[in-house]
Amino acid sequence: MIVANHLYKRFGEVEAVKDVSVTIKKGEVFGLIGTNGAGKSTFLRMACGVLKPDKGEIVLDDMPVFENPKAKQEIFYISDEQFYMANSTPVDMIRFYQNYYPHFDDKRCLEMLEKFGLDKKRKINTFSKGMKKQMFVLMGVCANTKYLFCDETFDGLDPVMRQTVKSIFAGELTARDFTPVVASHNLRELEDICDHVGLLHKGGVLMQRDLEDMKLNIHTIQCVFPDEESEKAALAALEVVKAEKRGKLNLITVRGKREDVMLLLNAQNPIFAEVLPLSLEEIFISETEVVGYDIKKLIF
Amino acid sequence: MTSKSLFFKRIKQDLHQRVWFPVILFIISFFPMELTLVSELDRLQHKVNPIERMTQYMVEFFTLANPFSIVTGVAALICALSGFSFMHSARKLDTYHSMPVKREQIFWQQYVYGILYYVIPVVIHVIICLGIGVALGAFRVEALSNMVWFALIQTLFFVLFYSVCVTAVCLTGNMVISVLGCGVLLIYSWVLYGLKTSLYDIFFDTYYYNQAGTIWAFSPLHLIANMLSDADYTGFVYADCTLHYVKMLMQAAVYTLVALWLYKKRPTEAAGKSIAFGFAEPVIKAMIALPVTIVGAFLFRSVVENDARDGWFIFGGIFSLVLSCLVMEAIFRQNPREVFAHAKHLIVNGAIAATVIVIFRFDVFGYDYYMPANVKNYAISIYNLGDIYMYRDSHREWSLENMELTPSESITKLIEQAIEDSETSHNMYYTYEKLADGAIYFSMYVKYELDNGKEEYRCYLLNILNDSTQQLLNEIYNTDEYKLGIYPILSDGWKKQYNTVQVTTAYAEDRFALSEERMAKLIETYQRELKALRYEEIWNESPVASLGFEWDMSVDNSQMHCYEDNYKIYDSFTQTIALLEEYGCIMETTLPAEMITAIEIDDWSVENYDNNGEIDKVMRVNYTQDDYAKLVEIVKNVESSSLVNEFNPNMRVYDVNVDIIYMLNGKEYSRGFLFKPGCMPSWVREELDASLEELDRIDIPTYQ
Repeated sequence: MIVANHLYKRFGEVEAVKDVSVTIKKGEVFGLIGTNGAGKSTFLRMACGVLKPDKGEIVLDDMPVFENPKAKQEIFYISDEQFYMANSTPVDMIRFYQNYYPHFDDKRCLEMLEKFGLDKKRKINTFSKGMKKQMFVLMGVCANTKYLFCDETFDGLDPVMRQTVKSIFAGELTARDFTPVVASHNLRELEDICDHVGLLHKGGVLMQRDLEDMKLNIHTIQCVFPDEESEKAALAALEVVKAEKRGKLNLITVRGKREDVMLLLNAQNPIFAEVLPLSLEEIFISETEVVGYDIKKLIF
Repeated sequence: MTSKSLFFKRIKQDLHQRVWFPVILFIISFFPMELTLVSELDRLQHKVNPIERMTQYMVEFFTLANPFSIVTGVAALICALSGFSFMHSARKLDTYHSMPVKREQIFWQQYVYGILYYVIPVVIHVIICLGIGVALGAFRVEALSNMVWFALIQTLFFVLFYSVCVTAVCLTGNMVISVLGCGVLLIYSWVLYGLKTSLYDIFFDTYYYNQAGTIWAFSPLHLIANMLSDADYTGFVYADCTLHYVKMLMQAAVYTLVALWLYKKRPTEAAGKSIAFGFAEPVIKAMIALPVTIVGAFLFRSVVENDARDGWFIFGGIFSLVLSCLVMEAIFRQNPREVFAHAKHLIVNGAIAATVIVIFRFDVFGYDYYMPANVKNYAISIYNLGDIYMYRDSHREWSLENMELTPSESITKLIEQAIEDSETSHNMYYTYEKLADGAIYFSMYVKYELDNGKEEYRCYLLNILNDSTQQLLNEIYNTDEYKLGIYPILSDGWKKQYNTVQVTTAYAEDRFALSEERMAKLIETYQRELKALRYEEIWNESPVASLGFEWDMSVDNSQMHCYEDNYKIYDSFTQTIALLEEYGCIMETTLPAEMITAIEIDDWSVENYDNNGEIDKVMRVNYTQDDYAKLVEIVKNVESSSLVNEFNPNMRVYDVNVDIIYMLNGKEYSRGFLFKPGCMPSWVREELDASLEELDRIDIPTYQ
């Protein structure tokens, strides 16, 4: 488990991370979302020991991370623009990582590279941006560390590749102690990968939620009431996040468990009522609007 | 993973990345090493005694004089930049610092790899050179010893330069600034030393240039310059510079630890910035702006040689300050448009520079009036007083180092007089010219050895013709302490194992070996009479002969055969003269006119210069045996120019030279003479048409 307590980091005049407290549980895919400059990369760089927080602490399995090789041995960090040695090939990078990560599985890595169509002897600088990201994700997985930090790694991956990576993550999650932390400025790209999401804005954490919980606790209902009285009564009974009306058709976003919501709604004998599937994006819009932010301006 | 296994695994990868460095070093090294050696040995093969010459060249090739040190310095810079430039890339740093390895370990790995990349090619070259020497039969054990020394010392140079450059790289955040930082650190103390010397020299009349205790040489080039200066003195012998090696080694260790500390403390986010530590920026700016401002002020001051100098000095200072601060600001900000981003730094640096200049210009701390109260011993060296010639050491330096005068009223008064005279003769170099006020200034060097062990030096100008000064000198010179301090033979006459003496009189020269017993007797006699020599005599009389004591240099471990310390014999040294005559020495102090072939008198005082500044007229008169009477009179009134009283300026008239050509024991000799003060015959004056000024000088009365 990674626990960050009241982290602060300043770069000159810019306060990159401001009082961030985040808990990343073991065995979940954690998504870190925010606009450019929100502090995602700074947080990840502190989490993997690259940067030293100005204030606050960050511990990984109860161990401080900064200048602690024992803790860092459990982390593989893929930065936005991952470094590779000049004129090196994937094989060279495998050798490089093998020096530092004792459990690095080179055979598996070579197999996966082949499976992904990445030539192990081709110079990395001839790879496309997406190919490089694939390669480093594969190396990160094969490093067999408990934690894999990916900074904007999924941006630019095509949907098929993202799905493949997702399945690799799923496989790893079931096979071993594995916790990927994925930072992105694009919520849609994390929707199908993450279990848990933290939203960063201007260096601070806006919110941190479990995606399943969020999905189970917020719903958009499409319904038509017989009269205005029953409509008012239904809206009063429900914990409404947002309500819209198009003619007779009501579109209501409400909090609560689906069964409870439907029970309260049916008590007003609607002519028609059905629960619509809610995207992560819509959930976030609803959640952040409640706390006074227009998330569309933040991350879309 | 253990550090050891990681070290060996990583070196392969690092070498893969930086293989160009040892390869290029290896190729470049061919030129100053094998190529130079082979071409020179080939040249020597065609000379007389080729094997001996080649063997000697092999020995000398691997000394400190070998220019390979330049390659070493450049290699250290390139190696440091290539090995640690990863700190300038955020991408690389993110990867390296996210790895499960301590920063300290990363530092040491890179550091040691760099040294190995240098050492291995150099050792290979040295071995190849050894092979060349052996193959050509130009080898002896001494060369092998020098080769080992060469490899060790070059490695020491490399480590020193390398650790300084790594420190600069750790302090900075991009390549260009790193190179500039390396340049600054490599020479900084040297520049400060030069600056300090210049400030003292220009603003303080009593500043004495002596290297000891000047400034801490913390820059490698300064250290190496100091070492080469000493090495040059000792013939570039490795073993003589041990103290310098220890200093270099210690400084390399300190720089390495500083670099390590900086690396550990350096924030990762500093990559790409000019300076890795923000707090260091104003300090670095001040360190550069201050010397540049002062040097600039001096440069502009030197443009003119009139009363406007002070104005140019101020203008030059301001110009250099503003220029240096703006350039540095542009570099630090990496944006020429932000040159005024820290205007207050410019103002503060200007204020500091102005303060420094004011302190020196107006001698705020009274440097020129320094007279410490807590003096344990004095050492005083006055120009030409106790005139002797010493092998190797300057007589002045020897006196200042060895003299121990107990504080006395005479000494205090003499120094007070010297301070006053120095102030009067402000901005004047010591001169033999008699000034309008009847003063002639000689330099007087004083060492103050304080109770706390500290030593202070001053150089004064002393009006040697001042009556009270003469009185004080009389009192001081006649003490045993003073004589012991200016005549080395009184204290170390027995240490040099003299075995030969050379006696030079006005007309003859004799050189002969003496047994230990005879030499001891001569030294003892000379010491006794030297101790009894009075100030009045050295002021009023010229020596009658010089006495050189020689010793074999084999004792001193040198190539040459003998050296000498040369002393003067005065008329009062009757026992010494008698003893020398007893030993068979010809003490020829007079010459019968019959033996003279010719006399030539040249007057160099005539100031007839053409438009090109060349002398187009030299007044010369010649006399031969046809002018016998004149020869007799001339000989009576001249004294040998090599024996003339150097101390009393009234006893010397250099501008009129008298060359006497004479026959002695069947050989023709030519010796230089000068007229004794006031003794130039009137007919010589007329014939020479000597200038009035010159004649005035000749007629100066002697001190009574």
